[in-house]
Amino acid sequence: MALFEPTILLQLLIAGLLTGSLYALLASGLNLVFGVMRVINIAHAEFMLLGAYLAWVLYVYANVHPLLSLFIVVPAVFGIGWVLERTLIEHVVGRPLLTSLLATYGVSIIMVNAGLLVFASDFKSVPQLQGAIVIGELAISKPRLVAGVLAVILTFAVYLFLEITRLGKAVRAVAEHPHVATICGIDVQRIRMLTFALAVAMAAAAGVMLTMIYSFSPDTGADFIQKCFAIIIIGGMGNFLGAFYGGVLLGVVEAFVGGFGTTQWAEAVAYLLLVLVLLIRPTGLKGMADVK
Amino acid sequence: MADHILVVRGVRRVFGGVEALKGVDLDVVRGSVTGIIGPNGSGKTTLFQVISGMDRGATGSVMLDGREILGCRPYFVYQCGLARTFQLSRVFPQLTVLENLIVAARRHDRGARSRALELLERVKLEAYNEVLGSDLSYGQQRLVEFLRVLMSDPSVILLDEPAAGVNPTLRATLWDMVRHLNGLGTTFVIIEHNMDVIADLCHEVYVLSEGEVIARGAFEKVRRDQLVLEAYFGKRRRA
Amino acid sequence: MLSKHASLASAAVLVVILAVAPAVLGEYYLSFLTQLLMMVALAQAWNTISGMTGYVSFGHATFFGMGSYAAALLLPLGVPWWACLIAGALVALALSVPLGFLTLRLRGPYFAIAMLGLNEVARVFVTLWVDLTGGGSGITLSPELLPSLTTSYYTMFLIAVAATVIVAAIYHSRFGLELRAIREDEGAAEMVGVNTTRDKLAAFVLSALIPGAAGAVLVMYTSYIDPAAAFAPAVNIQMIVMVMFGGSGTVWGPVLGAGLVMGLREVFWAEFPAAHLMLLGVLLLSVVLFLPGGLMALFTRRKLVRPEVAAGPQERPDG
Repeated sequence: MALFEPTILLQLLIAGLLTGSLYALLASGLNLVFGVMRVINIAHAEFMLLGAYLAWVLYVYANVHPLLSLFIVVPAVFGIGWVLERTLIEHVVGRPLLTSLLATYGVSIIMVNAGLLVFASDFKSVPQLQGAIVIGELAISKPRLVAGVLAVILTFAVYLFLEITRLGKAVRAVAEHPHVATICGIDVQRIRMLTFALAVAMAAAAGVMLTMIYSFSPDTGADFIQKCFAIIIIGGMGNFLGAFYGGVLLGVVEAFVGGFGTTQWAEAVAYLLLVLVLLIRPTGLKGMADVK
Repeated sequence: MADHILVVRGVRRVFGGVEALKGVDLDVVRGSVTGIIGPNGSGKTTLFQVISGMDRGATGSVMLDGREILGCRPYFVYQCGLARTFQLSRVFPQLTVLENLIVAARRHDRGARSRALELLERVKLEAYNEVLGSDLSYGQQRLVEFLRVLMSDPSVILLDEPAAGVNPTLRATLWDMVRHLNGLGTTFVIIEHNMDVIADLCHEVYVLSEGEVIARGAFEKVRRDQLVLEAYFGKRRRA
Repeated sequence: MLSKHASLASAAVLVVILAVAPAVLGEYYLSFLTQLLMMVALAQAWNTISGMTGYVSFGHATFFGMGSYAAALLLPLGVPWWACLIAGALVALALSVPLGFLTLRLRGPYFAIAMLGLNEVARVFVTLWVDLTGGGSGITLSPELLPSLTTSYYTMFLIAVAATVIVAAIYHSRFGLELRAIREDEGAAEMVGVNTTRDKLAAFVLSALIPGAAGAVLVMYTSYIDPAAAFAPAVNIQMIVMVMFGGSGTVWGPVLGAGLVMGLREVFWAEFPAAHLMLLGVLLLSVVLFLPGGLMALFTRRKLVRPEVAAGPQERPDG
């Protein structure tokens, strides 16, 4: 069967890895917020779209190349996240998880519909990078390659930040033992603001790269947040590298399902995985205590 | 041969590599007050969790009145006649005191409300019946929690440090009620740190240390046991 | 806030007013009322599971959509409209049993997320099964199959009344007390003999029945259904906001909430559905941050008995 040729398989694998890296970048941010603040930000994918729309605006009105717009969009969304954490999210830290979920659900509704009001529901994209790189019989889409590689670099950069820098270690300390961290003189509230801002900035970066690959509308967030949940729950909540591996895995599975089935089935993968995992392992989630 | 209402055999509970219970045996005589003592972390509360069904990950056997209940769900164990209290108060905060009690009664119990009021009178809390659980003082909560387990008229009651955080007056009331109910035939198994209470109330005492029973018997005998002293105070260093 | 008699009296008055409405009102207002009653029904249904047990569902539109599709598929086959209504409710009921069994094992936010996921799975499933459901293009019903507006109105009215009666009955019953205990502390509830699995499932199934019926009526009223509308986020959002704003776990809160949301709809929906939903998002956020008990919390005063005043034992402040 032509489908099972090694070239096709390799092509699907590479496409999956690249898309998966993007998912990983996105999911890592969500995971970080959960790990450090015990808050589930269901609006996370909307911040990705925020980045995407900002990049789109810069492209359409100022002719800025999406890769360049990263330098504007990421700091901008970082700032927005910083402020939002201080004004809104802080109030639901420490309350039951469901409370933060409801609050961020409210934020998500506001953002999606604000987006619909401003941009309408038609699909946008930034077709800046076109074409494919051909290696032998393999054709790798250029925008996907760039997006994927960048995503890996950014995720890795954040990982290094958390592992090596002092500030990063402070973030990890807060994630593991918030009370002990306070005693050690860490300004836990600032760390939370930093974490949230960093996470949504990562999402925005993923959004910028998204513009080169997909067409998106304000409703696109719904699909991506489900993917994030699936990734995090499989990879282990609060486990940074787990989210990375989970993202890549999802990307690959989607690529293969899409390759052998239809794209619609590929889209359904995340939902099915999420529902399946939640149902089969309701309590034994990696790294997750029974937090109410 | 004594009549044992609660028989625990070889109960073993492992939490991710740590053996919290290493094969515990208990024979609780019907109508007795049995004490369980031991240093912190010895597995006493875990044992209660297993017996009452809140922890269903243990192996071994727990027989209540001849019926195997290990691994059964807590509500079922309760309906079989075994009730327990918790180490920290778990009164329902947004339910009134009366509601807290009534929900613990058997479903079709018509006399639940009057029994609840009667119990509240016994501990002089009858004026508090419309007060929300969260508005009670901690000591009052512990007392209400104690009354709660009486609502279904259980045959065995497990008390996990029932007097902790309760002032002396209420404490006395509580122990009086235990004595009174025991006189009427209710079996008690009590985790306590207060040795005076243990000495005063308990017919038999089990000492738990690091997940196993290291001594059992009358309190006077147990308190002199070498192993028990070591468990509490550490091994004596050679001079 | 009102005495029991006053409450019942006002409810009776309301019911009578609503019962005679079709004789008095024109099509536009009757239509509005039908939708309002649907909102009340949906709100009470969501209240039954999320308000009373604390298992907050982010995906209850699943049952609404299922009911809609059941009716939309049966009606063209010649099945009488009232049987389609029952079918819608039964389909929702049948699905809710296994789904509830699986999802109710999850706590708090995980239940919410699982329901959200199920909602999307249902939507995708219906979209993909093109042969049966027409996929994304949906199903259009020809007008001669449909019941009249008045009939739809009265049906919705009955469903809304049923939903409210269910909530009221639960609220004042031992079952309701057990649900509240589950909401407060599920472990402790188990420990005092409450069969939490059975109780939660019962509440869940009851909460699915009503949206199933309402969905069936809606499709017969609008004559069109597609996956996007049947399983719409807007349905979920409105259910959540109506109840949380009105007062989760109360009998009248959802009614108040439904009134408010429908009022806002009148202002915004026709021109700017997105603005309406955005406003609901703001409402939700405000409620969560500032008024978790909803409007009803403003009206209810808890009876406080100050310990020093009551004839109680002398308390020193304990730990």
